[in-house]
Amino acid sequence: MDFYLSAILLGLGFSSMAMGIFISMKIFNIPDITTDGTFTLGGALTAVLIMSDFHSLLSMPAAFLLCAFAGAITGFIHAKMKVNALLAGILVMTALYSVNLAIMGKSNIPLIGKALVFEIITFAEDGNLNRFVYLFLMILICAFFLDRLLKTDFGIAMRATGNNEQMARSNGINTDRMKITGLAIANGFTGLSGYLITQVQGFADINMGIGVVILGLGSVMMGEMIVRLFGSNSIIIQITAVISGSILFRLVLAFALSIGIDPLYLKLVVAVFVLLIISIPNLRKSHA
Amino acid sequence: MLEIRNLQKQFNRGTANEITAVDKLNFQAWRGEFIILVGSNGSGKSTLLNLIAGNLNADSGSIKLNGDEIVEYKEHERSRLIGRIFQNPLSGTSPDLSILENFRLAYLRDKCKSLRIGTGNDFREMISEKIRELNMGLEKKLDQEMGKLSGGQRQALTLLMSVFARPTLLLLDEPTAALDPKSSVQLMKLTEMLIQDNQITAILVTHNLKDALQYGNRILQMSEGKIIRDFDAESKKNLNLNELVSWF
Repeated sequence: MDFYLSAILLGLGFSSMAMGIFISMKIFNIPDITTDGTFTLGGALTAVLIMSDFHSLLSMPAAFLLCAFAGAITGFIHAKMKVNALLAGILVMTALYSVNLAIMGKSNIPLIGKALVFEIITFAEDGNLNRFVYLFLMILICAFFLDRLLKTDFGIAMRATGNNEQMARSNGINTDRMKITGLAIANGFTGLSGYLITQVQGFADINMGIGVVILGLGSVMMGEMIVRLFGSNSIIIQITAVISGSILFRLVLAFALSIGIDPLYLKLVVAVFVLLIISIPNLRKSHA
Repeated sequence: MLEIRNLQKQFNRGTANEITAVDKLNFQAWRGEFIILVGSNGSGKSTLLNLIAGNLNADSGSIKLNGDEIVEYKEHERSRLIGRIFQNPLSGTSPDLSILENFRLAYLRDKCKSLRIGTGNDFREMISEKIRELNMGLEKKLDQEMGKLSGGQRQALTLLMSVFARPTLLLLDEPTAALDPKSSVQLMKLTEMLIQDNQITAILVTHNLKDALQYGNRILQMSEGKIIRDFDAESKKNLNLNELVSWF
């Protein structure tokens, strides 16, 4: 049972990153590969700050802001320097590998003997349950914040930019600025995920971000399938579905491991699973 | 007032495929003037509209709106003064946003997009009243996604949105081209009414010569990037369809 609870904890931790992918992919229609770098950046900064005896809560805004800055750089390269969004993300992600190594000073930082965020306020005696409540509350706050943001005038302008850029410009929206800000917020959420996962797993690793973008994408796609079940396209339903998608995704991976699939093939399982999620709706359409 | 001086736009400059789309063009349009712009395909009509709206950058020349030089303004900055209706009904609205949210953006065209939720009851009532004027029953569907409406409904709402923030200039690029005849007539009547009521300067590009005769109070013909004919309200009244056809 603990095996599946751990999967749920990871799912909750990763759902902040999935919300980031939701912003870049679904709101702005931009495949943002920066995620791989900013996830590690959030984790690396968290580990370094905690090991330097900073309060673990302090590293949360620090991780959000630094990762948002990295996302803004991708946005700037794409919107202002007119570089393809995919390439802009790859460039920043590549650069972040060196930045992350420089921040960490080594490839792995274990968080041993330091007060993690889960130990500051105790909601339950059981360690895993306490983590679950903490992560659940954190994600609830993030979801509420994102839902509110997307309903504000600024949020509507953000959504219009990704939905119909020509219309957005015709209505006085500075679409370049929107993309930069949007990618900053998306990567801020990803950094928050790095912050949470580093503390869930108890260490930061230079390679912890490799391939997370595909996990986020899978969660968003899975969320989309859930939205179809609800038949509603409201923002809160979409966000809730993305979070559920992230948890379900982790549960499926846990199930794959539990039935004896070699962890060596885990990335292959992820790729095939995401492919299935993406293609099933299209295959259904073509047979209808 | 719109004042255009020596406006020039070339495509593929310096190559064998160089095209002068707008060639040292000059003209003025006064407040409340409803100009019909006609011309063959490739005569430069849409390019002229794109240059005025800032969708394209001019190679040289001046565009003044109410005395302000706007040629250096970016498209989103010009859109605070200029409303646009596109040929494609899908272009003027955001399909995934609700009717209410689309109108919120139109309302905010010349305002700051703040972190305020502005689609509350007061705004909803204001928009509902505005949309009721269309007689399409859309005032009851404010939360419906724009993408689920018909082309005619979307184009009518785009028109209403484009005059919502009282623009100085309204640019209409073949707005009825993708609509059925009934919707086209409805849209053109609505266009004329809104232009007259709000005293907006408007330029309508059309290939429909009947519309060109029926609507507007001035007609211009473009050819090879230049205005070659300019009829004011009085002389436009004496034009007939055969004469207009003979221009092409």
